[in-house]
Amino acid sequence: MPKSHICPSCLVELARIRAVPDPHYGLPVVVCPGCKTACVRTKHPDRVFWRSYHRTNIAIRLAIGKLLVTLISGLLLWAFVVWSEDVFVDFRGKIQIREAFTSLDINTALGAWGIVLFSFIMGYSIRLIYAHHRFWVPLVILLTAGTFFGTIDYTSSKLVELIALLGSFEAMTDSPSSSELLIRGKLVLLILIPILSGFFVVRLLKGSMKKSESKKFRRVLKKQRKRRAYEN
Amino acid sequence: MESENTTNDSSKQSLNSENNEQIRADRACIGCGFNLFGQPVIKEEHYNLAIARCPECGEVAAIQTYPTMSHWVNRFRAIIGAGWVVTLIAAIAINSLIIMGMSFGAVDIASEKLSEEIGFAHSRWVEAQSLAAIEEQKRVRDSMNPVESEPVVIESESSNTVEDPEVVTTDSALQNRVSGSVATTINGITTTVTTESDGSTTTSTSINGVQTSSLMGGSYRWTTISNNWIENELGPMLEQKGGLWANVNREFLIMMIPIAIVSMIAGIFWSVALLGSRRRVAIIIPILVSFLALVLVVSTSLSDSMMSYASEVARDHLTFIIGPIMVICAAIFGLLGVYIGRSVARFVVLVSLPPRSRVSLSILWTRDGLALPKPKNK
Repeated sequence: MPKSHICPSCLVELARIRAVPDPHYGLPVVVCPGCKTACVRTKHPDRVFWRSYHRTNIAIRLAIGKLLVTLISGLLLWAFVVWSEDVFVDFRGKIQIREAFTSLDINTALGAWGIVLFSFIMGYSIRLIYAHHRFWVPLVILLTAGTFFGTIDYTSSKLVELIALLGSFEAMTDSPSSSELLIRGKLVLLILIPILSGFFVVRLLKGSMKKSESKKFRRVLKKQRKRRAYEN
Repeated sequence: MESENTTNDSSKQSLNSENNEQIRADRACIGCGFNLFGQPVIKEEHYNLAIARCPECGEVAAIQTYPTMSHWVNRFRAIIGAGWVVTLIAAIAINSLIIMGMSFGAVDIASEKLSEEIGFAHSRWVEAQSLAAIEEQKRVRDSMNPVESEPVVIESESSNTVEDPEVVTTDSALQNRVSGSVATTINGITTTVTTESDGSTTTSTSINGVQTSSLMGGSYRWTTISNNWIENELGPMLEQKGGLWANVNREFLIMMIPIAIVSMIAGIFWSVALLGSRRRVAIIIPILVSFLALVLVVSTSLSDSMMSYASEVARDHLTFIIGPIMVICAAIFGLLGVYIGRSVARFVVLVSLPPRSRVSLSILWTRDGLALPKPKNK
């Protein structure tokens, strides 16, 4: 039920009349149907302050939370690429997918299935939190975050090597060669398959999720109406 | 009389409410919170204001005004504002402490080589002093006329036992006569020679009553350094080794990576947290933070102690070189963070929030005179 708004001239309740922004100042003006007096519908300062405070609070939390999830996903993507080098690439430097999944070595098999499962979950969650964007935007965000961490890793290892040269000590890092980087690129493409399937699952479930959301909304609304009717 | 007046007032009010309007929406009573839905709205006679009377508590609600709670809004605002200022001050302190800690880490790494050199040189010097003391004791015992020697109370388990076979083997007559400890102090180093009843002797050295040890875990870093040595020998030793910079462990440069990342994140934070100020004012904070960190680093190093280890001596000397380098690095990346901070925040908000939620954070745009980007249709 709307909040009460009384016409200052004839005392008619105006709460049910829609306040249209006037063309001159953009104020929410309501014209009384009885006496034709125009009055502005202002919100209570207490309500306005706390509502804007809560909205800003939620917005900041959402932004920071999504940023963290994105960063963690980017870090995981990079970690999966590095990890999949051990799982999918054999000693000759060739990618062996089927062998990894059917390997008798429990660590290799678990690693392969783990990468697929977690990549799927990552894709699902990233698509879900960026549901307001087009399909390709979350993918670009995820790849950018992964590349960001990859670049940090690569640059820092190169920097350490440079510092080691300056300080004449032996660097403990092992920066990847160009062939290794090529293999990593191929592995990224492989990992993208479960990630994209996560994206598609979100798309498939989108309709049902919307339906359940609106159902929930209707249920809450019904409850509130019942309560109000009981109170009045 | 009062009851009559009240009756008259209510009759007047009822007369004024000719149109018999009612509240047809939610309005809480300012007295008891009761919902005034359905209550008649009347015009009171004194000012002709629209009012409604609560049926529960009888409180009159002025329909055209807000209830008298608005001063609490200002109080809440003041409380939140004060809390925010306190948080920012705490953030300045935390940021300074983080930079200070990282600078100390860098100084620690940089001083590894120099502290080993200092510890080693000092140990050689202590050994020389100890040998001189033993010679002196031998000479005194020979003449049976002690000049600088005095009986000593120090009786501790020596971790640095230096046996002088020359003394033990050549002075057998003295071994048979004397049993106990004799200490000699030369250049602040006290050498105690303890003669056991079986004739064997042990030698220990101490500085200001604290036992010295040259090697701890295979490192000279934790050697106790005497003030005499610092005053007289350290300068020439450093010159001989090629100066301070030649003995710096260059691995400390690795610490620039975390300090750069942390300072940039802090700069972004300051850029967004200080939305009330312009960017040119906001850059003062990273400079202030860096200055505070530098003051903390330098003042901590200047605090003098009676006893110091080789690592502390090396750190004290290198702090004045490495500390400012790290703090300047932090300041540069902090300023960079402030410069790009609002753009980064705007990008994050734009990417992460749906258009409806962006409105709450529109200040990020409006503060810099920009318009909030309009949502694009999917």
